Amino acid sequence: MAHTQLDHDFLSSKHSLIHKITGELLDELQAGKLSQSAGQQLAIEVLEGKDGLRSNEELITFLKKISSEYPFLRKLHKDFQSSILQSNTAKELKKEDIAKLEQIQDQLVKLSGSA
Amino acid sequence: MTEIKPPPITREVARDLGRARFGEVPVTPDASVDKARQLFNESKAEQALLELASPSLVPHDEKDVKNSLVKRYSSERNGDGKKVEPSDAQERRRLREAKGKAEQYRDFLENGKISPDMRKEVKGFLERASAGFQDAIVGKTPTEIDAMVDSYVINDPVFRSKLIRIYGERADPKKSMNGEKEVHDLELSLAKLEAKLKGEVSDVELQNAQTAVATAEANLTASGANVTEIAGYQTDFENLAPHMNAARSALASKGKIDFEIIDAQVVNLQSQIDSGTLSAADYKTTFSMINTLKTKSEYAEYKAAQSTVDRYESAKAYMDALNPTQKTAINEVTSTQAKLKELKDKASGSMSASERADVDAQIMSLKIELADAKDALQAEMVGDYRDVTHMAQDVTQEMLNEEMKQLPELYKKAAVEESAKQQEEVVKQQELGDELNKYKELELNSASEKLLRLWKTERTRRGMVTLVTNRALAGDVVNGWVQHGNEGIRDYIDTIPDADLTHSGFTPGEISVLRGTMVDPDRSRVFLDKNADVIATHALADYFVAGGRFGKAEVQAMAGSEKGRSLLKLAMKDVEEQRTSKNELAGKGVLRGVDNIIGGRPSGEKRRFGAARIGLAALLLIFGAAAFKGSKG
Repeated sequence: MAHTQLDHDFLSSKHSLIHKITGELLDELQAGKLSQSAGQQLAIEVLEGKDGLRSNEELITFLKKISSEYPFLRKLHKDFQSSILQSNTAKELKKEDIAKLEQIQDQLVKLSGSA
Repeated sequence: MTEIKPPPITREVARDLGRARFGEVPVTPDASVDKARQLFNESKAEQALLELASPSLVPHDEKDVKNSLVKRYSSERNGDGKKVEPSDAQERRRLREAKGKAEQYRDFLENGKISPDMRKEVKGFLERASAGFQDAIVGKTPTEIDAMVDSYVINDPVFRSKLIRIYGERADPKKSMNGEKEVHDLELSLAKLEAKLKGEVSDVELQNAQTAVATAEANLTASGANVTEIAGYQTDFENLAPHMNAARSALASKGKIDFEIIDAQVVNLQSQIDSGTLSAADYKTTFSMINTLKTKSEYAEYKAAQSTVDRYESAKAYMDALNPTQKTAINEVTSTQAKLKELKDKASGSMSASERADVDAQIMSLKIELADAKDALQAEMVGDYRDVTHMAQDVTQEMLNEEMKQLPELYKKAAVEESAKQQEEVVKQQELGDELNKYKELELNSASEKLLRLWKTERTRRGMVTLVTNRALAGDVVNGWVQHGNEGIRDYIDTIPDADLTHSGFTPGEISVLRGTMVDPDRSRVFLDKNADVIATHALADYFVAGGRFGKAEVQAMAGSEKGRSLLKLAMKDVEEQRTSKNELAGKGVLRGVDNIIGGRPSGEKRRFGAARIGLAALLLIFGAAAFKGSKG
């Protein structure tokens, strides 16, 4: 199946999240803490839900939902949510820096023109 | 760069994108946690999830599922109220098909076996709903199509995982029809109300019963019986009958003999008293004895029993003595009277007319509700039957729907890429076109340069190659131009054979671009506007340089034509401009030609100047100056 044309960063974090959920799920199954049918149910939920996720917000909502049903995912939910927040903050700061630089450049151009 | 907006998703677009579904063979999973871990370690997380999502365990016990289907699709119950196999043909068919399909799905989930029926279900849906599939099967044999359905859909792990989920939901033995309870409750309420109404007596029923009694009595009278006597005896008979057993028992009791003896003594004593043979003392004693006997309660009871039996037997004997017709008539009277009495008894405790109307309305309302509830239950049964027998189709539809959701993004990406590629191609073509046009322009310029020497031929003299003007040709060019303007030059160019052009040094490219320009109305107009005058003036100059002269007719024609006059004006203007350099040119023989043209003689003798002569002199002056300038450059 082909992937949709989405932001590369988002796809990357989605794949990373699915990878982490799978890892946690396998750990629980192999430790005997989760029944095979519950594991199957979660696997189905992730497989069927993943294609509909199109933004970081949707990823967080999805993770919140499954972590309420499977408590071993709560930590992952918390970590993922904070990493997305940090990433968003970093992006905002970067945007602000770029805007400032452009502003300075504009001023320099104006000064050199009037000189 | 402007944003590229994809066009809307049409059926054709969806068709194109839908084709992608049938180009990728899914990987068949091996369900085990270890296998999943291995895949996960290879960074194949989704494959690992597929492994976990498709275990061999299928939900629900097979037998439970079948029993639950009976419970769902049968409306029949046994004496214990338990659902049993239906007898209704439609219910039997639904149950049979649902059981069959549930078994097939289970067989697939447990053993991987794809039944023809299940494949047909999926294939039928794809043929109806997927344009991509319709395209993909064109030219394929039925066997190939079946193989495609198996490979691309049924064996897709997602199909399996979805089917497990749907099977778990729809074949759940705990599932029952929601409408069952409502129908049951309504049936119960209706039965209660109808039972209540059964205890009621209608006026019609009473009237009928009374009529029946009257008829029976009339029949009895008609039979010749003494109705009054019969009524008396019958009353005795009916009244005494319940007491007969007790009376007979009393008579047959231990004291019976004693009472009979007493009776006999009483009779005897009474007869003695009546005969007057008793002494006063005996009479008194006997009378006292009789009274004592008569006051005994046992005796009184005995006498009452005896009377009861006697009266009953008497009545019975009377009744038995009646003829058969009379007996039948009496029975009819008795039964009709009994029925009438029963009805009257019921009527004495029944509800009022308004209460009865209310109950009737409730019953009608319940019947309607029950009919609706039964319809809803049937619809629910049919819907549930459909859900159980179409699990594979619904799974396929779910898969396609999920893929369709991605179509806009996929399409946007494809359209944007395609549009960008097209834009790139357009730019490339434009650049190539510009290059080509530039090159063609150069060739055309070169060709137009070469057109200026077409009336010249090469001549070799003492090893030196020079160009010599063919005065006749040059004259034709000038004439054509004078007579027809730009079109005269066009005719001149068009009539030159390619071979002559080649001979004059034209390259094939130059010939091609020249011919191409001349056949294009717009381009040829632009070309002639730019070059016709130049060609004509060059031809004119060469004509004169080569010693050519215009006769009176040519001069007049030139002065008389608009083109000619404009050329003369241009020439005059140029003469003015060249006047500043005249001194430098003087003495170098340039002006000598002018003198000749205007008719001046070395002797200084003046001749009469005409306008044409002045014009031609001016022309020669210009060309001469230009030639001199050119020779210097």
